[in-house]
Amino acid sequence: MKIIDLYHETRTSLLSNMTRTGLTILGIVIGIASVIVMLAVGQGAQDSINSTINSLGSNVITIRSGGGTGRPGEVNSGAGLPLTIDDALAIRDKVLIAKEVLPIVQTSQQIVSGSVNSKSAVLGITPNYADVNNIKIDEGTFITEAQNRSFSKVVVLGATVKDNLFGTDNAIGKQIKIKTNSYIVVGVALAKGGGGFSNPDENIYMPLTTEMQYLTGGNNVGNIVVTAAKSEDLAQLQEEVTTLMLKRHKIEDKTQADFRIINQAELLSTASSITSIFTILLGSVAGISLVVGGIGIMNMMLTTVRERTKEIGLRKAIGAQKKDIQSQFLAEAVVITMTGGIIGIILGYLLSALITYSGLITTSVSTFSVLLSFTVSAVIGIVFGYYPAKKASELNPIDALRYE
Amino acid sequence: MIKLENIRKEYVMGEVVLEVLHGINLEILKGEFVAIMGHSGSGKSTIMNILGLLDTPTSGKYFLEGQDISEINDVSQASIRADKIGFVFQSFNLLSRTSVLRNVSLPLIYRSVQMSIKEREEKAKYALASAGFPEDKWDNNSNQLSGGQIQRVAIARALVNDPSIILADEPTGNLDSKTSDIVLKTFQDLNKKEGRTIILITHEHDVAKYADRIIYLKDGEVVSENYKINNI
Repeated sequence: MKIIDLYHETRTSLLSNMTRTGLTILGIVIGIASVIVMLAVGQGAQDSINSTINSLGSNVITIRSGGGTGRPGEVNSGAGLPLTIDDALAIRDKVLIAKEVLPIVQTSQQIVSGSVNSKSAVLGITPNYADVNNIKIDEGTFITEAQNRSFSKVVVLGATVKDNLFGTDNAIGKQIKIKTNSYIVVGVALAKGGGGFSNPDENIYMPLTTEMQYLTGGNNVGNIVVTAAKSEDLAQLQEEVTTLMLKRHKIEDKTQADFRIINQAELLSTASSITSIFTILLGSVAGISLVVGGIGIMNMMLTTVRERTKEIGLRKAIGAQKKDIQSQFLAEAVVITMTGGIIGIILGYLLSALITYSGLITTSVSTFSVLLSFTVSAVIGIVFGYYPAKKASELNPIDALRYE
Repeated sequence: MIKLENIRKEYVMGEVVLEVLHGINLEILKGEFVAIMGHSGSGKSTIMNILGLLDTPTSGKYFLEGQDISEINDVSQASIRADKIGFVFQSFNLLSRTSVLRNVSLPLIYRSVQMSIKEREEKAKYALASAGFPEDKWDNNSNQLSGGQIQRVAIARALVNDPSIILADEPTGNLDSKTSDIVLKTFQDLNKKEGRTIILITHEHDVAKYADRIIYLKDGEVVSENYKINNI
């Protein structure tokens, strides 16, 4: 049999049995598309968990006043020294491994703008706060060093606060009132979305010095955030900060400390164990989808070839060689799995895009899932399309003809 | 042309060995129209399958045009089926949802002699004409035809490779008597006008009477041979 004849036989055979061909292709399409979509949804979920975790910062420690070692939920009413701006300056000057030092004061205030009244967290911060917490400015500017030095009565609004107070109007240059003083809006932060325990979009930022001068009074700060250049340095950073702080607060015994240090790395390790559970879950989902899809394809192929044993007998009776039969069925299996595979991949991408578009979850199709599902389906399709045909072609023609 | 020497065929069913043919000796000459008759279970279909190389005998020798068939391999057997034998089955065995022309030209793609698609179609049309199939239905699909028309397509398919022998297994078994008559006359014409060797398997006298010679088979043995049976 010539190649051109093989092409014609395959083409006629597939086209003249559209239902059979269509159903077999459908089986493969569903098998591949479902694996791709499942994995895209899973991958999307994992990415979203990861990005939430990363937005918390992975190389940050937070110093709070009060004793204990910083176990969550532990309440301390120790009468030790509060954290002060001098502590922050000392850390900045003496702990060389510290990259950024952010003293922060946070109070909850009633904000008034014309007739609108709302309650917000007001954060007194230094300019490096924006970089460390990944705050982007939508309009205007963030708090500057000059404003911090001159106790300027300026604020930067979180996106939600801006919407509450000014709606769609321009907020830059407008005044808001906190307690007895007026502050000028110099910037609006880009919406970031809630991550973790607080929503940065609901915050108001002002220079640390301003908040300490007009809202809290005195030299105390709420907490001090210290970052390291790399997450590997975190343990050493924590060690050095602790030593310095103990010395400054004149405490000999570590367990009697009047401050506590929260290490983000601990949070991160909890998070990464969640991620690894997720990875196992994803793997199982993909595995099950592949097996289910594979069995579907296998079924279709086996039934199709069984059904055609008589045809194989006839072809042999009128003179077909074994290899003629085998190459025809191989060609048919290849064409069917390739067609189904390509449609399945396209459908997988489309469905994933549709899920993203619907806003449920941002899916992410991985090349690995495409390759995996395509390879497994193609191998199963070709093996189970070809192997039974090969078996049938080795029968006596009469046995194949009489096959029911 | 065809010579069977002491052909035996056994089927093994579990532990039971069933001998269907107990040593058949037979000779068929070129240009003969032979009917092999017998009741069901007489082994007539088995003989036909062995003659057509669809099945292999357990022992004995089969000579086709002087060549010992029992000695040759699978590939050569397929070539002989492609080049020298034409089959007409009781159940027709056409490819469904496939055009008449394609069904008829199908054996040609498996021949050792290659020919173009156009040549094949020419041959198929010629064979369809010989089998008396109406020209206006050449492009119809095989499942849109009547029983008689289907069997004519099957006969045309058996003719298309210009075979030395045509084997027909109960070719009228699924047809009514009027259509049977037409189909059998077609065989007679092919034998008388084109000089083709035809071997027909049947259990009906009415069918066998179209042949020049009737070989009676009973329980796997040839019991008698009648030449030139005239219409009873």
